Parts: sequence; C-alpha cells; structure tokens
Amino acid sequence: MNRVLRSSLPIRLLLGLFFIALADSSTAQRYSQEFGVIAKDEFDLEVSADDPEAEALILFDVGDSYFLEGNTGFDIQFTHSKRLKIFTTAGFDYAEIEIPYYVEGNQRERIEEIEAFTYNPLENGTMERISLNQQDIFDEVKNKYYRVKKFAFPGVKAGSIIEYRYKLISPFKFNLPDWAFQSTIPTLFSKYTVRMVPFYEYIYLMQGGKFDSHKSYTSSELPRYFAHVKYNDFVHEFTMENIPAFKDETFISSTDDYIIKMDFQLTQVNNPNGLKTEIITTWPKLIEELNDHENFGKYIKKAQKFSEKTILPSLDLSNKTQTEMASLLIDYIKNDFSWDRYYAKYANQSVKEFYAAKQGNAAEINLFTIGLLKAAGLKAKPVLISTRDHGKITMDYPFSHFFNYVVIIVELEAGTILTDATEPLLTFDRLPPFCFNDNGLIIDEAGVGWVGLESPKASLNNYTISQKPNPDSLKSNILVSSQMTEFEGLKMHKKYGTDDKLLTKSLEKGEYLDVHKVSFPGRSQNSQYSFAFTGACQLERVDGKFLISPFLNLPIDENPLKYPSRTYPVDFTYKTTDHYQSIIEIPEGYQVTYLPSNQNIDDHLMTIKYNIISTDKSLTVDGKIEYKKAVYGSGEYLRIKNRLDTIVKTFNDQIVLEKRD
Amino acid sequence: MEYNIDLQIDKQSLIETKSFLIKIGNKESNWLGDVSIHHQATDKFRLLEAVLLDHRLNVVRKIKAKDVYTKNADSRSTFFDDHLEDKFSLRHNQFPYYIKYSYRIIKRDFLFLAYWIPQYYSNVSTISSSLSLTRPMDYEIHLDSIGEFTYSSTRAAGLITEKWSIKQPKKIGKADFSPPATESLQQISIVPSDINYGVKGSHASWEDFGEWVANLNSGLDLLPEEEIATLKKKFGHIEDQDTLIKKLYHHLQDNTRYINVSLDIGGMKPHPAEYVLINKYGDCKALTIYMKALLNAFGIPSFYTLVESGSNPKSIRENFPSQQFDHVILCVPTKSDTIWLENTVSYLPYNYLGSFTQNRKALLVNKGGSQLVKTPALTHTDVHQTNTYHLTFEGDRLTGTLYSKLKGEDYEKIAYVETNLSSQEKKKYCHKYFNNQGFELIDLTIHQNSRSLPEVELTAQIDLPKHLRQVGPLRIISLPASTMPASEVFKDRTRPVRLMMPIDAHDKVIIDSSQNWTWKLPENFSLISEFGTYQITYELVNNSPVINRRISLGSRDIPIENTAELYTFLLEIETYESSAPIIPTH
Repeated sequence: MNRVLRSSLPIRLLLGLFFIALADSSTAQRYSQEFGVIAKDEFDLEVSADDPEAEALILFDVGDSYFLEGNTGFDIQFTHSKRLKIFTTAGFDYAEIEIPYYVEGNQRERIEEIEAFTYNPLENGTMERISLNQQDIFDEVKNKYYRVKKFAFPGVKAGSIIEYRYKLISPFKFNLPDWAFQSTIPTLFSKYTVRMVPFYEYIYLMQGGKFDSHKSYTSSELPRYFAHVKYNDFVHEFTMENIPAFKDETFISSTDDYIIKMDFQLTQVNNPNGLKTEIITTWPKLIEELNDHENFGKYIKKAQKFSEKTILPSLDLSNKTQTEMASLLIDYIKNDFSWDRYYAKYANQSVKEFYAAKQGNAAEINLFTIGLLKAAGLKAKPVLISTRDHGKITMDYPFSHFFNYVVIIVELEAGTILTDATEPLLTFDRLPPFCFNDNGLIIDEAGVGWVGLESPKASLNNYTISQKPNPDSLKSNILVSSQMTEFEGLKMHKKYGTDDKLLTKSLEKGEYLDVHKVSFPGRSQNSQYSFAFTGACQLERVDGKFLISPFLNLPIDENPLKYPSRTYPVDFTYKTTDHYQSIIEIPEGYQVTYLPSNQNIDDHLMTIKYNIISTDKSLTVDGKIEYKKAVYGSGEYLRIKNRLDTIVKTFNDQIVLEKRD
Repeated sequence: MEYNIDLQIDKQSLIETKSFLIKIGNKESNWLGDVSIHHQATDKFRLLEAVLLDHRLNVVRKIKAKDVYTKNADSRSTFFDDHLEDKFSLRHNQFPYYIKYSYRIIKRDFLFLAYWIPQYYSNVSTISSSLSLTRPMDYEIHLDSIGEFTYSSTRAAGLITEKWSIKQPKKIGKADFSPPATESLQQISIVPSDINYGVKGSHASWEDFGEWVANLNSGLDLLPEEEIATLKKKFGHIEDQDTLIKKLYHHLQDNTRYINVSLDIGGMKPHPAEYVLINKYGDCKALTIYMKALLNAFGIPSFYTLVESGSNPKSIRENFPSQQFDHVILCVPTKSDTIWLENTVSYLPYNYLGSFTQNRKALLVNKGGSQLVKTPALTHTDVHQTNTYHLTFEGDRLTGTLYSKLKGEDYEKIAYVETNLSSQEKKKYCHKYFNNQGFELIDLTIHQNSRSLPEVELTAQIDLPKHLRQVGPLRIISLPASTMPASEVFKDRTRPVRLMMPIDAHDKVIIDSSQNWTWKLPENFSLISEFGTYQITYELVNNSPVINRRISLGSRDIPIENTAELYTFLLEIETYESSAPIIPTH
C-alpha cells in the first residue's frame, strides 16, 4: 500500500488568511519575524533588493539553544525556525529540507515537532496556507552516524513564502549547535540565542562578519532549580542583518573557511556540588585529555603492546637505521591494512578487532601505526589536523572540533617526517594532499607544538618529447616519455593506473594527436608515475608553411583564472614544477623561418623559462614552469593571472618550417 | 568465480537466494570486498553467510551482525526512496583471497521473478553463473533470453525446477554512441504469467499488461468536484480543444514541480491526482495522472503511456510483455493530431517530448485496448540550429558576437539551466558551455520567444582566444568547430553505433574587415555520404569573409561493419577543418 497516499488525503489544509499589516508608514518595508505571521510586504517582495539575481531569500533564520532538564541531567534543545521567499523556479531547491541529526551507540539526537507551511497569495487579496503532512516527513539513514529528516514543502510556486520550525533534542553537550549566518542566498535577518545554565560553559569563535546586535543578560523568567541549585538562564543573543549570499570561487580550500558563522566549544562543566571540570581551556589540557582518551592515547599504548607481542617478532629490524625502520613499518601497515575512507580522530574498533579486520578508519590506522613505531623504539606522535574540506583551524582557540583527522609525526636521525598510513601510493614520509591545511597540533606530553602540513617538496611533471616532422605526410612521428612525482604522480596513479586505453583517450583529446602505443616503464610502489608513448601528431600546413607545436598539446591551453579580481586566496594545494623538453628534427630540405622568443621570468612567485637552442638539423626547446607557492594570496591574484596568460601563450606558441628555395 | 541465484515460489511469495564467490587478486581489486545489497523495505532480508577465505579457502573471518549496517539506498533522482542497502566489508591483506556470501530475500510484491545478467560486474569477469527456479507445476511463467545457456529441469512432488547456467559470459564495455550494453549482454528474464501485485493481472500480452496498469491506476485520475468547478470557471470558456489542452498543460507546468518519493509499491502505482492537487508536486506517474485528471475534468480522453527514458534508452523487447519502462508520459489523441505531454518539467513546450522520450516504443495504457506505440522522432527540422558569428580583431584578440538559435538537445539543456539553476550555477554552466567550444564568455542574453516554441536564442559576447594565433608573421584564424561528433569515437569500433537523434546545423561566420586586411581563404568544400552531408563555402562581401557551413547527420543504427565508413566521413571533415585556416594579411 502507498503510505503517502493513505495519510495525505485526510489533512488537506487550505486556509484563507489575511495578511498582517505591519507597515507603519507608506515607504518602510516591514517583515514579520514571528512564525506564522506573514506581513504583506513579504508577499510584495519580487526580488532581493541587494541581489536581484537571487532565486530565493531568507527572510529570517532564528535559532535558540536551551538546556532542557531531563531524567539524566540536561539535554540541549535547539529550536530552529526559518522563513524564505521563493522568487523563481530555480529557488525550489530551497523548498526541500534536510535536517541532519547524529546517532552514536545508544545515544541519539531527536528531531521533534516539525511544522512547515507554504503561503501563496490568492487573487482575492487573501492568502492560502498549506501545511506539511506529518506523514510526508521521511527519516533517512545516511551512514553509521548521521540520519536526516527530510521533507518537501507542498504547494510551492514562484512567489511562495515557506517557513518551518523544529526542535532538535541532543544529549551531546559537546555539540552545542553552531550557527551559520550566511547561506548561498541572501539573508535578511539571522539571530541565534543561546540560553546558558551555570553548569556548562562554552566559548565561541566568530568567522567573518560583525554582529549587528549582541546582547547578554540574565533571564527575567522565573528561577529554575537543578540539584537544589537555584539559577536563572544567562542569555546571549547574536543578530546579523542583510547578509549577502556566499559566492563560491574556484581554487578555495573549503566553503566552510569563508562563510560567516559561529562555532561553540564546551570548556567547563560545573557540577552542582561545586566541583568544576575543565573540558578544554588550553591546548595543553586538550593534549592531556587526548593522551588519556581510551580511543586515542590509550589506544596507542594498547597498539604498542600488541605490536611488541604480535607484529615485531615477525619483522626483521636488525641493523636498520631509524629511517629504514620507519619506512618498513609504515609500508607494512600500508600494504596490510585498508582504509575504509572514514575520516576520524578517534578509534572505533579495539586494537584486536582492527588487526583482525585488516581495515579501519583513519584514526585506527594511524594510531595503530604510532603504537607499532613506538614499539620499535621510534619517537612517533599523533598530529591532529583538519582536512581541507573540513575548514581551517585557528591556533588561538583550543577547539577540539576544529580537527577531524589524525596523522603521524616521527623523529628520525635526519629530521622529522609527517606521514599518513592510509595512502599506500605515497612514500612512507608523505601526507596525502587532502591533509595540506595550514598547521597540525602535535599531541605530545612535553608541551604544545604545531607543525606546518604543507609539503616542502614540489611535485614534478616532466615531459621529454622527440618529434620527427614529415611534411609530405603532414604528420610528425613522436616519442614522449613522462615522469610525474609526488602528488602529481599520485593523481595520475589514481586517475589512470595502468589503463592504457583511458590514458590514451585523455592524451588524444581530439584529432591533433594519435597515440599508437602507451607503455608504463619503471613503475615503483611509491607515487612516482612514469609513462611513455609513441604516436603521430598533425603537422599543420598554412600558406605553404608548416607549423610545429614543440610541446604538442601537453601544456595548459587556457588560463584557469577567469575573473578580473578575487577575494579569496588561490589555493593550488601543493607546489608544482612542469618541465618540458622537446627535440625536433628539421627535415631535409627545410629551414626554420620562425622561432618563438625566449622567456626568462624568475621571482618569488614563479619561474617561467622558455629557451630554444637551434642547429641546422634540430631544435631543442626547453620550458620550465615553477609555482613557488602552494597558496597565493588574493593580493597576488592579478600577477598570477597574468603569469598564467604568459604561460598559455608561450608554451603553446608554434615554430614555422619552410622548404628551402 | 561464482554467481548463483536460486528462486522458489512459495504461496505467492518469491524466495530469492543469491550466492557469490569472488576472487580478489590484488589490492586494486579490494573494492570488491565492500559489499552492498539492495532490497525493498517491505522485503524480508536475511544475510545467510559472509566469510573471507584465504588462498587455500580457509576461513579467515566471518561477518557478524554488528558488522552489517543498513542505510537508505542512495538515489540521485529520488527525493526519498525506502529501498534499503545492507553494507559490510570483507577485505584482506594477502592476495589472492576470496569472499563468499549469500543472502535471502523474501518478496511479497514482485513483477519480475528474475532479471539475471550472469556478467555481474561490468568490469570484472564472471567464471560461472547459474539461475534456478522452482515453482509449482501450475505456476505459469514467461521467459525471455539473450544468448545460449546450459539448461536442465527436474520434476518432483508437484514442483518443477529449471536451471540455466553459463561459463564465462561475455563482457561488453562502454562505448559512446552505442546501444546500451544490456541490449546485448547474455541474460534471462522471467515474469509470472499472472500478476498479483497491487491488483491481479497478466503478462500474456502487452494488452494484458497494459490492462493490469490500467486497473492499478483505476480511480486515481479524478479530481474533487470542487476543484473541477474551479477549473471549469477558469478554462470552461475555451472552445477549441487544442487550445484547452494546451492551457491545462500550462496550468500543470505552472503549479506543480517534480519530486520523486518512492515508497512500497510506489515504483509502479501512482499517487492519485488529489495528492498532486494538495502538494503541488509528484513524480512522473503522479504528475501524469494529475494531467490526465485535468483533461478528464473536461471530458478529454488521454492515455497514460509507459516509456523507457533517456537520450540512449534500452530498446524494448517487444516479444516479452513486461515492466521494461522507467517513465510515464501522456498521449492525447485529438481530431487533428496526437499530442504528447511530458509532465515533469516546466521548461519544455506543449507537445514536445524531446531527447528524453522521443523515437522509441512505449506502452499506451488504454483499458481494453493497450498497445505498444512509437513516440514521434525528432526530425532534422526539430533539431536544426543556427549559429551566426560576427567577429572582429581588437588588437591581437579575436572577439565578437555569437547569435545562436538552439533546438533539440542543446535547447533542452539551456532551457533547463535557465529555469532550474541558481544564478551562480547558471553562470558556471554558461561559461563552461562556451568554454567547451573554445570561447571566453563576456556577456550572455538568453531569450525564449514563446513557451510554445522548442527553441531558445542566445546572444553572446565572446572572445575566441583559441581561434586566432599569431605564429611569427602569420596571423591564422581557425573556424569554431562544427557540432559533428568527433571521429575518434568511431575509430576501430567493437560495438555498433546508434545515433538516436539527427544533427543539423547552419553556421555563418562574418569577419569584420574594417582594417583593410587582404584575405587568403580556403577553397569551398563539400562531402556527402550515406550518413550525412557537410558543406562549407567562403566568399568576400565588401572585403569581409563570409563563411557558410551546413552540416547534417541522420539518426540511425549502424552495424559494426559500417562504422568504419562513418569514421572516414567524419575524419575527412576534421582533416579538412584543421587544414583550412583563414589568413588575413596587410
């Protein structure tokens, strides 16, 4: 039977309601911020005044966190209400709502009292209100930890006003709901109220923007009692108005790094008996807690003991240097254990379970590896990081939820290395690029230490090309050998592996190049990627002249930076160097009548070199592009954009051959 | 290694047991150890066994209940789907290793007994696979197969057990412009002769299957009297039937949106018209039923029509009446014409099916007279597009205006983008759209003359950095590429070619010559083949080059043996275009 069908028929709800007149003068626009009360001006709005292209507008977005006394202490009750105006059909996406909630073991968040209404103006000057049928709210399991309540607003058209509210009841005091003031559409009014009780203390971090209003006061409501303690809530109200839509740009680390929002962190629990438990007020305390944590520091200790008994006896570490030992042990983990693709900073499985399953989350793999390295006498420590898609951390604030991942730092005779044992294609002393996000916190009993995560080494793309042009057949026979190192090599491994057909298709990109045979010489286990191919490329004949592209179609042929200016940094993730060398045989009876000019640009941003050495029989064209930074500031944008224009022009310039007279 | 299905009919329930033995030879193949089993929420699912075996087939690990977790199946096209996915992982670190698992699903509601493709993974070989079906002797079935199988049958205690098996079924890779692989993979499909799903019915003929659909839908296409009165007040004055149908279709488009909620039997049975009336949304079935109800309100008959959607759909197996469709449209016969209505989108015109459902067999559901019909095909006129370029030099830039009148699939994409994407997404899409043609977009206006016309006009200010080169003293202009498919797709073909829609275009390029250039223009060129035509002419008008290019490619199926000729035809065009530069000199 169709459940939706059964439930939807009885509760058709179309009410004729009159608008509430809130305008107190003929010119001022007034919008209601009360759920269920719609002002006429809200219906009259046809576009967002500050952003006429916006497909929808958030009229208000109001959240309220309240500590609700339950049977086993406090739960957080987060009440959220939101009203939007839909301007165009493109805004219909905003009428499909997903409310995520978290489940962990026996503890779970609950979503309650969802109400949603669509308001449409009617021709007679009234409006209809269509309510959401409770049976049309679906519960979807997304993964082990996250579920969503989802529903679609009924009766939505261009011009509709939609509003909804719900309560989220959470037992997780660590997760006092954060608040985003900014969205992908403009917001007129956004307010977050947090009603604190004396038993929990939080700090918050504001990213971007300034409050239009921030009030803090003691609630004037009747006093509350908990465990014989009489108290009043202490209320904080944070308000922002007229917040523009967040505009996405290419080459940014994560939207989360730039959107206007506030994050909360539990810092202290004050027991009614007077005992105070500081949760995290300083980095040393966070480190201490992690070291004592069952699924972090203690997990490492257990892994160390387990490794001493179970793993090390079967490995030959005698006469090995520290570096050799680290390499062997990290590669052992990489080869024998698989990552389940879950980012994590805590282990879920026990050490024994992880060892038996041969698979685990990132924390299990890396914390276990630390235990193994320590068992072998190496100085290995965990480093907490935030992956690129998880946003940036702020070193000034000891917020544990900044971090979502743990990697490893190892002190060796030649210096320290950072590593992540989840990625078998990288050498033992490299982090994968998704970890390159500012700094990581070293979890070390000795004190607070930070380590930069960016790779010091540039990744190399190296192409050696040999061309034998044949003007009679209008083809050049070519031989190309390429090596990609580090993260460029990793990218190629992941994208193409040894699939010669896939690689051929990518190289050919049209009719210019005809790849005959691809080979993969000298592949090794690490991220170095080598391939070679033979083939033919077209020799263009124009006006009796023959045109040769020295570097074939391999260099970038268009500037990826399109906009005239930029507000965010340009984040290329890691530094790269591209090197091209092409040896072109000049066919008998032909001469070169045009050579592109040499280029030599070298400063703190980039190196661009393009040089040609010519003899009667051949040309050697050498080109190098070195990006000296992984991240360029927005102030450097125009210079980088211009450099990329130069690269596109220079590296795709052609050589002209003509028949000798 | 092994993929076996065992089916048993037990008191109208279908007990399906599937078992797998998979060899994982290296770390790159470890993904095979991540198992995901899909089933309906109403099915009874039980994992019977899941073990990891080493290379000597010794058990290394067994999956326990806590290792399995259930989530909702991911679906891009569905807002909510109650299909479930049971997931577990069996990975090992020593290769080769094996995973062996089996599960049982008991289904009460089903249309298919089996849809067995022995080649289970498209990119991993299957060594051995079998299908067995045990049913009461009087339980009739219909079967359809592609390929040869080893067959056996036994009869005992009033039951018949049939078994089909195959060793090393063939793999078919993906190829552009090919019929879907599922049209030629070896396979067996079995349906019960009698349908007992929602309502009773039969698979004996398309007429019978259509009758079952009609009965399942019975009574759903009615609106409340109050709503009918409102509609009559609004549209009752329209006398011309075609105009009325069009107005009602626009009413649907303007007041509803597509949202797919798939629950229980929701895969087949539509929500009633009243559901759409209240919610103003629905899936293709619900919206079509609603459209049908709107027409019913005015006594206009229409037919719910099942169709396989997509620009390259799998052909319907006509000798096997069964549920082979994933979409629904509405057919409205009128005195003068047959009107086809796509009810899920607001941006396409009345009586336009477009690339999504054109030119294919569909089941027209008509109580007492259902039949397979063919949807109208997009013709050359329907897809004909024009692109007019007015280009000029600004220093060393080639820049100008492109005016395009798009029809067919390109029109559909732009109309979708214009209606459904946010301003940011729209900008990104349009930049990419022009970028793919080698242009930098400076400014764009999208204009649709009328919601009734399947065409859209674009006026774009563009830079053409890839179409002007300065190589030493030579200034070279190359023309924007034509919309012919790339020849390389048809090179050394191992699969036949299917061109579902024709291609037809006229490009006109006018290059401004106010700076008194002298022009070297290529020779006129034309090429005609059984597949299509290509013609390009060059002339100087007031010293401005005017280039006219006309291309045409027919829609058809091309067997493998003829694909080389298509390749040669397209290659000749490409070779010509790459060696026909326009050279301005002073």
